[in-house]
Amino acid sequence: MNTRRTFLSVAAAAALSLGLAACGGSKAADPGESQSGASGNTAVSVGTIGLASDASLRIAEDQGYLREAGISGLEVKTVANPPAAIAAVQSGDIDVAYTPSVPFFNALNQGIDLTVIAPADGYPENALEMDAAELDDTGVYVPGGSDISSPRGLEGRKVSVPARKAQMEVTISEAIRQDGGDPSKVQWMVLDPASALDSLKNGRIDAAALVSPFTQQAGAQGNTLLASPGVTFFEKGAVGLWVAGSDQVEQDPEKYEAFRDAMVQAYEYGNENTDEAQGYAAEITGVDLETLRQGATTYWPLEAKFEDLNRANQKMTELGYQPQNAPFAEDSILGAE
Amino acid sequence: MTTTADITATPVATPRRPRRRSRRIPSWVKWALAVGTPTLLLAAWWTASADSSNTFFPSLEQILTRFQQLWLFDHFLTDVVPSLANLAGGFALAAIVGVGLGFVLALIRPVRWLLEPIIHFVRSIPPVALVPIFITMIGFGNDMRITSIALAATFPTLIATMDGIRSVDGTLKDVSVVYRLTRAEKFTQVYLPAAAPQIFAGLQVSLQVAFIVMIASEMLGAATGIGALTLTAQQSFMIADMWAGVLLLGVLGFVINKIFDLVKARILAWYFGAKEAQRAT
Repeated sequence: MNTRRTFLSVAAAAALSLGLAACGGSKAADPGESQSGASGNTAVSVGTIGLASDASLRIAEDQGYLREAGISGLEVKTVANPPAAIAAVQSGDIDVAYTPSVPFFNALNQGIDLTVIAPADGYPENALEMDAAELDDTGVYVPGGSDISSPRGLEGRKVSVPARKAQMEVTISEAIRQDGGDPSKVQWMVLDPASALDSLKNGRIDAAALVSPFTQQAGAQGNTLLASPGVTFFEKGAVGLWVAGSDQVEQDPEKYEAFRDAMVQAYEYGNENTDEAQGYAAEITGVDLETLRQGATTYWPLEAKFEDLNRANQKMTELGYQPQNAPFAEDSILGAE
Repeated sequence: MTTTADITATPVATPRRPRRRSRRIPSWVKWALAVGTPTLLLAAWWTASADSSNTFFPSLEQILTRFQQLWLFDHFLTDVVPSLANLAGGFALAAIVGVGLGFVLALIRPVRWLLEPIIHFVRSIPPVALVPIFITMIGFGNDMRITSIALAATFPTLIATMDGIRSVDGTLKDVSVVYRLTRAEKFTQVYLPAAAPQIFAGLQVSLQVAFIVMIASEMLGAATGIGALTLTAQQSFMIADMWAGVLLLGVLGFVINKIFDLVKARILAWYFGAKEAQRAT
């Protein structure tokens, strides 16, 4: 009996290890499964995390910008988080993935070769002169009456973030640094937005980093907005990005250029027709339209500029979130000279 | 006094089968297989992945280097020990509640009728789905993690204990009545030993469940523990670190299971001995 069990466990271990070894030796799946060339019958599959800024995809479709650019079909797949989207784009499961800038640089630093196709959301050129709360869909909230009055006050306190070493943590760290504090002294807690709001109410955490529509909920519950860290960190330009595997882009540049061109047209339309864009956003996120209107207005930059993105790259290094700048060059952006 | 072992081991008047000459495998062969097979597999993995250019499947050399840097012993005290302490606490709680409640439900019918539907309802809920609820109720410290582990791991032991007690041989029950055993004596000398093999089977499943929930419970709250570190590595694309975490989990799971097997073999020595004797007759 024991011998048989030993053999069975050995066989199972063998199968598992050989599978792993085989995977280790394999290359990424062959990209470009969808129809190739922006000749009017090109299909593009996109991986997103279901944000308000995805309204641009609906605009591009409904206004006919995709069709005009030669893209006949758009398949939108919702993924759990940006790393999952990047893994999917690498494996060829999707053509284009949405990712915030921070996971993008993390991926580049770990040797994942990605190309920026287009911005996916961000801030206007004069963002620093505007009211940050109206632009930034992220916010750090403290309970009403808290003794924390500036980002520096977060030193030594419990601050919840949706994920460790991701965009919210990095941007808050920069806000603390700019305020003269030491972000390494913060006790970061990973909490989903609902748990974060509840923990804030019960005093289990001192501050919560939230994304719209939970920012509106936090305000409605009497919490105070301490900082809008997105604008502080990025200052202007692209924040969210549409990215693809560089190999895939090299194989079929027309398809990605067509996608970019259609999206730029959608951005122009969305920036001018915010009510309509918010209507789409409400449908995508399932959030009440009135609630969405109370929060930050989505802005789509028309271009992903190297200097804007590299500024974020540099700040991540200065904050210690990466050992050196990620290998990001001008040619990492599709069509950049 | 007649014990369960005595009764089970009593030769039964069955026709004697011709004894097969057992071909015992020498222990050195077993050891060679136990050590040699994994070594060969690791060597195969090492060779096959040596030139890997796939970021998501780094070479074994890279993974082992990160394994050594992370777990031996930089993060051992800060992450491995807390995770294992939560596992031990949650599992111990589950074992006590599972066996205790299993006895009560098996022996007291009205209580069983009352609680069984609720138990089956709660055990159908994936434990991971309950983690946010526990956070709301008891926060996100170790209490939440131990509670999550304990709740999830209780049910396999509870069900196994109930089944074990309910399937105790009627003869044993009659014997305990004839010998006028007290309730405590019946519990410790008849029911518990008779149901022990099934209880241990339930405990083994509970241990697996506890291990899974230990990782899941670290996805929220303070980013400490093996699960939290492995998840952060995955989300930061530190793929070799992620594989090192997965490897550590595999090793720990294997070692914990082996320890459990040793404890089970020692406590149930009478049972395995009786089965061996039955096979021999």
